[in-house]
Amino acid sequence: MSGHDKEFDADDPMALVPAVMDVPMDEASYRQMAETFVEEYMLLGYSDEKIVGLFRNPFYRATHEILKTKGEAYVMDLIEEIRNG
Amino acid sequence: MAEVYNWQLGRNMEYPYEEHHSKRQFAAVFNTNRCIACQTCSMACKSTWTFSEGQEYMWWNNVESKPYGGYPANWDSKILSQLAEADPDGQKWSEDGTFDGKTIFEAAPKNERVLGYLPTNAEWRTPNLYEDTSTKYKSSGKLGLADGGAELPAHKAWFFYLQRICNHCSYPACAAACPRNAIYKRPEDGIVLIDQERCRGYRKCMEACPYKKPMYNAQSRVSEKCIGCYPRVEGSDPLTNGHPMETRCMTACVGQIRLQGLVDLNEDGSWKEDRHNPLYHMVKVAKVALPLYPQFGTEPNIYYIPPRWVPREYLTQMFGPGVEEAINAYRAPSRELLAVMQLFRRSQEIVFRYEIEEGPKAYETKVRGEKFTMYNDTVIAYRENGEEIFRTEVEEPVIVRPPERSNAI
Repeated sequence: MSGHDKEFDADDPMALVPAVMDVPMDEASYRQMAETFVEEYMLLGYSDEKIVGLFRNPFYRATHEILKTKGEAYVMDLIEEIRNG
Repeated sequence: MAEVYNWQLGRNMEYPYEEHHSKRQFAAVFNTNRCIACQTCSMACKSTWTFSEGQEYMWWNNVESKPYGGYPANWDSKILSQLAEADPDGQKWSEDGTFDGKTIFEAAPKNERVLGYLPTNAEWRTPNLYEDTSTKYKSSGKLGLADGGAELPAHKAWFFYLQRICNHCSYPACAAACPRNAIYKRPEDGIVLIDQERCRGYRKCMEACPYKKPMYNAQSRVSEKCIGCYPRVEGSDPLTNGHPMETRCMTACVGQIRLQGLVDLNEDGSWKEDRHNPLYHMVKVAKVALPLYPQFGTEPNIYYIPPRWVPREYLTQMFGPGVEEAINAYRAPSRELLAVMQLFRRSQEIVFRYEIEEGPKAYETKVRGEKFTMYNDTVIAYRENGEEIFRTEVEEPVIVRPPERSNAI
């Protein structure tokens, strides 16, 4: 039996105790998080097209997750808002 | 109790001892926006100081996933609840930045010097509870790799990583509570240490420290804590030929989020104006970094650049009233702040002073309707004796993995 297959032992001080947090998120907090991504890339000098590309590309998991959840119109609106204030 | 001045609270407060200050203060800035919780800092500390018998549960440095993680479990929500109970509806900041509530010293129960609690063994047990960990990692045996690759949980809620070491407080609660006077603050650098000879393991320091950074060694039966890697700070490590060096946790930081140094203090404990000390610049000039739970009243000396995607109410509770200003300074950094941020982790030596040589314009963009110009300035770091340690440029190369190699595994 490999280490990965062993059951969690509460008395093992070195054991990893991971947990997935399935917490509902309010709209304002979600928007704030999404805005941070866009703002970060804009400060790096990325064009709007390049930023949209990061949302479309599944390799960029966090940004892509936003596009999958909210749709492309939400992302375009986000970029427009952060670009022009 | 004596009256001492706490600049983070903007007022005098009660403290068991008369006001005295070190000549210099060990301090650091942690940029929470950049931490990836790789725990290299935790392991660097552990492999240096806490790998012996009796230290199995000790993590002088830990990184926890907020809001739910904590080491020991729920340390901050517990002390916040105790304070709220001691001062119902009173734990508030005035508009001028003065704290109107009670500190852990002022809220102490009768016959106690500090308000606190002793964590249980179970609470010390899981330093990385709620940390990001692969949800699918079952080895099929072939090369030890998981079928279909390992998978991290997809987060739908905000969270961030909080890096924690001893704050080497200006008014340490551990020292205030020790019945043996075994805890002291070094006059030369403000590092807080436990005298292992004097300590008898009463654990009053563990109970009093609101950050829960003193820990009990059941093998030696005395308490231990982060020693600020003082041999390195003193410069006695041979690596840098006698020049003061940053701690293990700082220098090991993969994400380059930490910068530690020494700040000169006035006799009243305020920071001496030192315009070109990077810590002075970030804390006092740019005001981009804030202390952790300043309302506890210990005047902690680790400063945090707050994570800017997190609800402000939560951050204000954690870092005090300067949150909005700090986030604004970080999201639209000045030319000088951008240069200072490049000093993080280019060297193991302590940077005492910096200078900036202006460079050409790298690019111009627009964010939130405002023009933002990026200049490729050069920042130069100096030792205490004025010798140059290194120089580095603001503009960093950006390398994008080509689509056909989007995942190396």
